Amino acid sequence: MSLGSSRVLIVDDDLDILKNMQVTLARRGYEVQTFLHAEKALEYLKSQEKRIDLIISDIQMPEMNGLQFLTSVKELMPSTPILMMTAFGTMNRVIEALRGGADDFIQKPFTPTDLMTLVGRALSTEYVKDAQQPSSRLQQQIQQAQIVSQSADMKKVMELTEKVALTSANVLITGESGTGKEVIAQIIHNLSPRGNKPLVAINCAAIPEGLLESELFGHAKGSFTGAVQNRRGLFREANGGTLFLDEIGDLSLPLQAKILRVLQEKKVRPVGANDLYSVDVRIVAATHKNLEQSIRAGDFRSDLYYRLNVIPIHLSPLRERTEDIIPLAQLFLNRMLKKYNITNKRISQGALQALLSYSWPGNVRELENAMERAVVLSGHEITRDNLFLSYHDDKPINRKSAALFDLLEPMSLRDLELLYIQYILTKTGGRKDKAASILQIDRKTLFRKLSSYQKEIEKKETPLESPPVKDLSFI
Amino acid sequence: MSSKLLNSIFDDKKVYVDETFMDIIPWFLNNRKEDLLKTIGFLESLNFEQIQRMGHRWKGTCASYGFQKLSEAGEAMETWAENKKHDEIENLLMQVEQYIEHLEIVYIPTVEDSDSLTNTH
Ligand SMILES: Nc1ncnc2c1ncn2[C@@H]1O[C@H](COP(=O)(O)OP(=O)(O)O)[C@@H](O)[C@H]1O
Repeated sequence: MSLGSSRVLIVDDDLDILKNMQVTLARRGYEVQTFLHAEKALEYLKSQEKRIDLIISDIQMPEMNGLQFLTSVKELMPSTPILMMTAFGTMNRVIEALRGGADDFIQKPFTPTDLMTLVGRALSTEYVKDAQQPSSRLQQQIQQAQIVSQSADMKKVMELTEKVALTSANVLITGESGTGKEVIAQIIHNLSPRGNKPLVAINCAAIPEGLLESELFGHAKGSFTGAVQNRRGLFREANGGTLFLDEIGDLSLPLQAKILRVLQEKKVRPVGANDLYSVDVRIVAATHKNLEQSIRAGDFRSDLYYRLNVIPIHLSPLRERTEDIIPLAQLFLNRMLKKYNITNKRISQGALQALLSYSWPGNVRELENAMERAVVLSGHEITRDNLFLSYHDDKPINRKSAALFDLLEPMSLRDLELLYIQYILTKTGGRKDKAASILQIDRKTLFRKLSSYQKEIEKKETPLESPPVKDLSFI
Repeated sequence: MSSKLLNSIFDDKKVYVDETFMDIIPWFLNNRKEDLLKTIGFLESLNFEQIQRMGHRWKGTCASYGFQKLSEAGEAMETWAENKKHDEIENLLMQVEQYIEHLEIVYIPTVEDSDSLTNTH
């Protein structure tokens, strides 16, 4: 096998990047042809002076941009692999490029190793072979995992999922809780060239902050009380495969910084250890939050967001894709009948109507639970009443507030209000003007409320003890 | 990033650069000096749009050569230009100029991932 024979054509309007790539590839025996303008590159390709094995192009360029170039190249030489370069904040174009036939993405900035890994993959026959039969493999996945995708929204998601899987780009899956984000993460992994390597999943919201770091990065024996053994950490366990970071929007800022570092350097240092370990993992992250909002609020790092969100996949809420509801209900009905060893049950017309008109705040997961309950509680026919749909709480209480309220005794709205005002006052160090601005009431109203509570308390002569909110600093 | 933080970021002048780029680093740094001159001109004419573009470019380019801090400076330049923070940008440009002047470059071998070099053609 000789290194000298592969020819790579690169287009970028940034001369510094062109030179960088040229030097990196030439040093490793590739023949490189560079262009500052896509039109010129296209002319060269049309002249067919020399065979080209791989094309790399920036997405954002003046005059003919990367997407137009991609379209022309795909017409001219459909089987030549093409990698697109993306800079921060070009996500929408990445999806277009993926649909336009781009094979993979290189995110700027990149190291020589990043570049060589992608180029090596794009040129390897294994990769090309993989790419030939994606649709049948997707169909197989859909059947095996029993995925329902009747609606136009879900069809689009599946099409994107299939294309994304073949790239090495990080993916951010957004959507309300229960919409199937984990399901999609699993399919991306299975269809990807990493499919035979591990998929490691972690829910960042479910693990206490203090443990999360060693969970992710591992720890050295004795690095803290309870660290009785070395621990590899999930990044290393997922090496060669995929790491699914669920509820990434709940990560603290310090941990975000640490994860960003690992993504940049592709190395992890276990807590309390001296050694660094190389890791090669693809990140698929998911969140029900609007991360752009979190960024504006200062709760999420924009640089980490751009690294994770190379390709966004959005799952719409179930109420917006009603075509999926009945097939899903049927799927879950059959599954539950099997589970409970029941031979047959049908869904009444009324129940079907109810399923279709309900708003499904808990999405597919709620439908799954409703069907299980209905199968257990119904006679030979599942009626509307068996579904126990909770129409009154259309807006589900979010998990953090639920966790908070679980810690409190049920109380009157008035007491709750006082408790919350006191809590905010402790947060602002007793500064009433600041508290009023957080509560979005004016200062006078705040004073009035406080003094009326004070009177009530004096009347009752049972002073309210300082509320138990001091321990709730996690909210 | 605050100006203060930025100053301290540039204290450490050591940069680890992949030896792949050894021959073109003087050229690369010269380009950056020219960029700085251009940017000073943009700032004088309050052309924040061009500064923003320059910052964006630095963000993607410099770290690809190993100059992480110049990429960070690019990012700060981009954000500040968006908010028309004249004085912050001016201070930043001075810091960067000093930084580039006193760089201490350490060339390191590429950490090759053996699989990635398989070239089947
Ligand atoms: N399109 C679908 N077809 C079949 N089952 C689905 C589909 N989407 C979600 N589910 C099921 O719904 C439940 C919730 O999905 P999950 O991926 O855990 O949601 P999320 O990660 O968004 O909270 C799981 O049991 C999953 O198998």
